Amino acid sequence: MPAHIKEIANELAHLQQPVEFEDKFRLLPAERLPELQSPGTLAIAAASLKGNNSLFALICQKEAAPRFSMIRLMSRVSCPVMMTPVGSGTVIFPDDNIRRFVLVYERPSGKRLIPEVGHPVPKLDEDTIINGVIHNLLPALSELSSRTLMHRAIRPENIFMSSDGRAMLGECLSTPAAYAQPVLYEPIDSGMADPSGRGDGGVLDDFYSFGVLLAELAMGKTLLKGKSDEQIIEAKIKLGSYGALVGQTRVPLKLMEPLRGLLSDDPHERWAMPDIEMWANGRHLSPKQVPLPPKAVRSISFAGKDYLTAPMLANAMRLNWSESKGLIQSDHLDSWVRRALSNDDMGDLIVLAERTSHALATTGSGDDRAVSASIMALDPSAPIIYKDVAVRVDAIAQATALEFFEPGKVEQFLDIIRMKLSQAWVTSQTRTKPEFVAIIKQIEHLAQNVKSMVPGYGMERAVYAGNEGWPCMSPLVGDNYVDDVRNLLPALESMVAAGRIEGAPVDRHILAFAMNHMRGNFDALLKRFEDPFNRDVYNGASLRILSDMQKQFGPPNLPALSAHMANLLIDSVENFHNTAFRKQLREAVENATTEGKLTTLQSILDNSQIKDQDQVGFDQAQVIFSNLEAQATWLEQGGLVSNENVRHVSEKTSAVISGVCSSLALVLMTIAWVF
Amino acid sequence: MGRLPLLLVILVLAAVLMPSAILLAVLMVPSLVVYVIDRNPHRYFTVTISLPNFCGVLSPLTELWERGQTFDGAFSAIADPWNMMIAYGAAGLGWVLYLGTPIFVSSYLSISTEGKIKSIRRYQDDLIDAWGEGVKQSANIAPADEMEPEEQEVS
Repeated sequence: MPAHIKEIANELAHLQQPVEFEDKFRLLPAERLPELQSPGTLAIAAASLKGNNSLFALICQKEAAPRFSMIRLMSRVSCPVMMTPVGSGTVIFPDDNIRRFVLVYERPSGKRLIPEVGHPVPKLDEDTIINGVIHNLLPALSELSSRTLMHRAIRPENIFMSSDGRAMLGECLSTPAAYAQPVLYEPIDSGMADPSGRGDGGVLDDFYSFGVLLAELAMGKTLLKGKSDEQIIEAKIKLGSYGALVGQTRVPLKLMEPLRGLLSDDPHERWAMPDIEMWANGRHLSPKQVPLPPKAVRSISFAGKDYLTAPMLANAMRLNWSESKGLIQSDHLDSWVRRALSNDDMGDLIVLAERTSHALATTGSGDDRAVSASIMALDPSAPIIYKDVAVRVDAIAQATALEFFEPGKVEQFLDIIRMKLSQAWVTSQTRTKPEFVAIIKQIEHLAQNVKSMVPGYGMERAVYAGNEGWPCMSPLVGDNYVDDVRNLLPALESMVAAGRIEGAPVDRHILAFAMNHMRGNFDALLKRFEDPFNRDVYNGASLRILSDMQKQFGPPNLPALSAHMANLLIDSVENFHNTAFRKQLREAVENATTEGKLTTLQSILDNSQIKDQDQVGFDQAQVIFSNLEAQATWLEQGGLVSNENVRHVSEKTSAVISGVCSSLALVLMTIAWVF
Repeated sequence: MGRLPLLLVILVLAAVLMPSAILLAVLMVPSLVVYVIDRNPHRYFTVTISLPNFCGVLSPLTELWERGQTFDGAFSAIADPWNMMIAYGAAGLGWVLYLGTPIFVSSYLSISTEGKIKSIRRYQDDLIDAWGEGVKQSANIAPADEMEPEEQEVS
């Protein structure tokens, strides 16, 4: 198994209890099937609840998540010589109450061609290769090609051979596209890219892998054995793939044509489905020999070696980044390209790259961008190369997701997006392709997401917006595979109930994941998450987002999460001034906690209206108290019985008494006068 | 109504009812004197004296009107010592009231002060119960001598 893929079989050794899945399958974790295990998965037995098919399931890992969108498309394919899923989705295993993603397949009839990568590939005779492998796999390749589906896992250990020598394509969905492919089986540009940055690519990538497979089967050995990945790439660039892999070795004459066609390094010249079908039907084609890159009249010395071609130099610059900066700053490269290679267009592009890079490099260094753009000029077919990162233009989002927690990688992907290196790559291509439109759209979408780095946006949002069905990578959901927002709150509930969350159960990943799925505009709310040290504001905003999620997606009861949020925010109840109101709130919080209603809790604990009312009442009470205190002080200091006050009151009193008595006298006099 | 129009109305009335005016001017001298010396804007002293004074003048005034508003009638009423005694005596009673009231008011206020303080403290305790100790904060911060107590509005 490739070193960059995590082994999970041992981690999941505790899974023993059977579990039903989609009401159609019973998964039997106690029964392990290591012979059917794909890299980074755990293969277990499965049984159908409705039929008697012999099944197995692959438990996938969230660090290298399965190909969500491809699963949907592949499920519709019915092809007996290719493994397609009969069931897929998440299921909670009762042993540890953790949700995991599983893919269910029918068990293949044969055995793997080789048990695992590194084992020698058996030599097959010409007849078996043509009839048992090529002819037998043609329907699978045809299905994939006609539906524009990319398998990206054609390699010897993923080919199942039946006892009668008939090949079957193994599964390709349990890890990201080409993530487990050896460099040998990838076209030059994909091999140069990091495993995380290969992406779905195109159907022609599968034909290349198929060609390498045929070459290995025909020669019966591991090609370029003992060479490192970099040496394999260098050999392919130097000699061409056919020259590097087959070279002078004798291969069956009948296979020479397909091998030349399939191993063509120019995708436009590479054999595709119609070519193979024609060849299989007996029509002989003579594939065009792809010319090797033009050699310079004199070599250029770089990083202790001499190089004669631009792609070789570009590959060397990829591996020696800091020296590349020096090369760009000197005039050697420009003069070598113009004089030794006699390529003024390439020279102009390099000069342009250097001049514009400093202006476009809003983040990171202009020198780094200049190196990246110069490599594009030297070898337009190479992937985007920037510092430690080599990524195909359509795989930036996938690479970001896979390498998110690798130190320093996210910043480099951010630089690639912000420095518009993807656009530069598309511009550098000598041939335009229709898929460039979709790529540009995808890049702009990514750039839109990283325009703001407020929680809920940024690179986290780019991960979820750029990779459909990618599981939430927040450490707060633990090992739970949460690819559906409906499962987010239950996952947090279980984590809280297990006591594995202490603070607010919301972080940048949770926000980005939720924002990618929730309806409504939350920009104002997201601003409240900007200062994670302002706990009251952060916790209040967390409660608000969680309650909105519960409102939109359920579940109706979340007692553990409600109790946790109540604990975090109970201090805010104590901040209320009115004691009777505080008591009422405490009771309301207790009720909401028991019911598990985050929405009710939010209306109590994160309600600015009742907070304002309480504050206004408190301010008024303070003024009244203050006035009363002044009155009491005045009374205690004898203000009421002071001469001035007594005189004042007496004057009023005597006037009143005088008025009353005079009125009475007037009445009596009037009565006496009348009668 | 402003002061000038009121004065004009009084002068017109005095011109029309000259005998009555003469009678009032003589018998209500105490009220006029008090009006002059009273500096209180509310004129409590003036009210205290002038109302009983007017009651004392009312009897000769009605007699004058019954006799037909003559100067003779007015002068004879003024010359009647009985009338003079009643009018000035009534004003004197007002004066006595004015001078005697402080004794009673002072005693009453002395008695009620303690009750008022108790009532205020009880109200303050209610406020503390309802809003917590924090409600005292501004009262503690502000010095007592800087406060301007409102009129005794304690309920």
